[in-house]
Amino acid sequence: MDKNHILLEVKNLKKHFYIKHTILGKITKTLKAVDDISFFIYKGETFGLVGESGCGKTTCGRTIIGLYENTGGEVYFDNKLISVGYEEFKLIIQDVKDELKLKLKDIPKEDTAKTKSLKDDYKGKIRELKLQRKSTKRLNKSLERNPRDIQMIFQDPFTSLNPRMTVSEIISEGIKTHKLLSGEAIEERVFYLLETVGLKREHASRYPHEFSGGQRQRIGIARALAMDPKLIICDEPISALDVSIQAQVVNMLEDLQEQFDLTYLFIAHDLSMVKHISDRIGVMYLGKMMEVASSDDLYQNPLHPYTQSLLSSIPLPDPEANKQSKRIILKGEVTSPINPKPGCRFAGRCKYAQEKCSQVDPVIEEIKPLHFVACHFVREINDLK
Amino acid sequence: MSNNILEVKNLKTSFFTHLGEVQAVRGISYELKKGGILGIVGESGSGKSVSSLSIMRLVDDPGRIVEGEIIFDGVDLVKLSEKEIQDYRGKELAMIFQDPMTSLNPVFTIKNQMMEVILRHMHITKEKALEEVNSLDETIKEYEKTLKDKEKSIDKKNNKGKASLEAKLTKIIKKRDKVLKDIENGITRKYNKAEALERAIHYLKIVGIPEPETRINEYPHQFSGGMRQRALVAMALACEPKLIIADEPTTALDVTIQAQILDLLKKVKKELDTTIIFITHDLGVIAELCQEVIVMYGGMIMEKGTVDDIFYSPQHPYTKGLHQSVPKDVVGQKKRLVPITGSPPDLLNPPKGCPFSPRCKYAMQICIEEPAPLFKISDTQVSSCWLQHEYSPDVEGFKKTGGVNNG
Repeated sequence: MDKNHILLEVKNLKKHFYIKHTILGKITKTLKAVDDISFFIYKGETFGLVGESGCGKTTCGRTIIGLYENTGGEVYFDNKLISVGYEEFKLIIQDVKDELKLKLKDIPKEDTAKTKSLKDDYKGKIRELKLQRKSTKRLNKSLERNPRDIQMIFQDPFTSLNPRMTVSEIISEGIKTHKLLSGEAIEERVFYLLETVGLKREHASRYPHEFSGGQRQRIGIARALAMDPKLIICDEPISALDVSIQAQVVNMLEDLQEQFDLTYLFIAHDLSMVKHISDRIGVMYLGKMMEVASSDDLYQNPLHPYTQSLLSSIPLPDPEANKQSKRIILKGEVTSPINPKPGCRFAGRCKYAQEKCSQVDPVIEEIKPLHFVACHFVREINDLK
Repeated sequence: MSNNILEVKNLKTSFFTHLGEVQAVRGISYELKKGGILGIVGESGSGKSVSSLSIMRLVDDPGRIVEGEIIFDGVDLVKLSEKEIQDYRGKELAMIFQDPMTSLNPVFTIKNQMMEVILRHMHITKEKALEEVNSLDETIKEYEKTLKDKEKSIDKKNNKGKASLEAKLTKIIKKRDKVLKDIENGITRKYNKAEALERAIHYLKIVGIPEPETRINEYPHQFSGGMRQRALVAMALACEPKLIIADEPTTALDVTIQAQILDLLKKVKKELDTTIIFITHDLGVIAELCQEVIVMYGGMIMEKGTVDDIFYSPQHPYTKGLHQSVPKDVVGQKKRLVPITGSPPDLLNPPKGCPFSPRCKYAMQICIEEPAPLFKISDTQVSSCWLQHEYSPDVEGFKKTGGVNNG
């Protein structure tokens, strides 16, 4: 891990899905899958992203790689801007329009002069926003990015491989698309990759259904490696596998990291495995980053109440330790990310929640060196200065 | 009779597919004491789910129980006819399935699905039945009184309806006599709808569903994953079964919800004193919940013992391998995981010997040729590994015993 070299930096990343009115096309609801999160990954590091289902961790990974266009915020790769979001201006413009309508209602119709001035006022505002949107859109289009730098390993090895393609076709598809190699060199490359991930040369001509889950995941990894990426986004690569196979894949990922100098963004919900593989971990809840810290620090003294209860609910593979550990069992369930209420997203389930929590959105701040927490009362809860 | 609620003897279940016989369960035997929680742990394809489906007699075509006995409460479930086993399913044995998203019927309300099992199985208690007889007696007395009044009165007008009243009276008397006779024979009537609804709501309350009176009228899609699993637990509990089989009930859930459901199962076990078989692949859940553990692999039992046996002195290489493939809670220097090489056996052509032998680093000649019997390690622990045999070489970490436990 190179602490002087930040490979990926995400600033205020947002991914909203708009639910539109069927006829009018007006945005009626917003699903804020990823809402204003920022983090960075050092070169050569494994950054774990954990959270419950529906918290936006997968969406976050997909937005970074560009499978989803980001709604707002910036993504830097190797200190170069690779994507800027412009979609959020749409919502802002709509909000401004709604505000205008509300204000117009208050003014009596006869007062034409006032209405006109107000309308003009807002027209200028909206025009400015539209211009801003256009320029960001243009900026986003003009950005240079190398799709080979970031690759992805998908969750389900049974659906992420095309059943009609042979293993060799699957692995070499990217190489062919980018015209990196040709002729026999491609074949050699495929053989080399297969051997790197612990498969055999003769597997190249087979189809995915002939392989077991663990082997399929290896094919998925070989496909990601084919492009010589710098960063691999691993989206729950082990959760569909058996325990004994999980360890094989995790060990292999660790070996490959050393061999090819890779950086991982490791998305998972299996907390003990994430802790094992990651150097630093980010905990997400309903589209927000709750806590970011080094994995040891996070597991030894979690500061955010959500992280505390999340960690305490993992059953440990040790009967004695289980008896001693105190469980913090959360009440209720994750609420919907559609039109979330203002304030801290966790406030409804948090036992420390106070009035402020449901009104003001906490900002993520550095409580200790390299330990970021988004909670209003983190100092009070943990007796910190 | 012993205090074993369940005895599985040499159970073999196979699926007869076009490719050939897939031997999912290959001769397993175990006993389960009343009131305990037994954990069955294994990877996918180890036969843990099929063995429990066999107990419920829910193995579908082309699957079949080939051999063996399942003695539940003194009755061999394997020999029962389909009609007879239906009286057990839901009543004495209940199951909680893995996927709460698919194991509820989407076109019926929760109320409908919960009441179905109660209406099918539940009979009212003897005390309640006697109470009803008493109230019947009172009505009979009332009727007799009015009848007598009518006879006394000379007015013919009052005599109207005497015949119908008499008919009613004989009917009620007949009914009372029948109920009394049934009570003597130990039979009481089934729940009616109002009582079933009351019971359903009561159990939804126990599993912690808020406002059960209104939520019971909802459809499964209106419930979240955790809530559905709670509803399924309530459904399994509704007839107070003696044995609940929970087949990976928390695998599809998030950790915080998993903690809630595990907590609920513990509470339910304590309050209702049921026996639970808990099937999972998560060693953490086993350590948290169970007292006894069976480790399965390739359709066979590899090791059996108390939680402490399995976690602190595992004797089978597969159990040891499982422990080493899970990250332990160590802070600081990262320890590399030790995976089990290779992949699980193909049950179409299972290895002739020990199913784990192709992946085992201690595998000997005998392991390939013949499956190991269960060697008795201690009073509570048995392990199926040839390393425990007296002719085997000494390997560090493995105890050796001379005797073979055939039980």
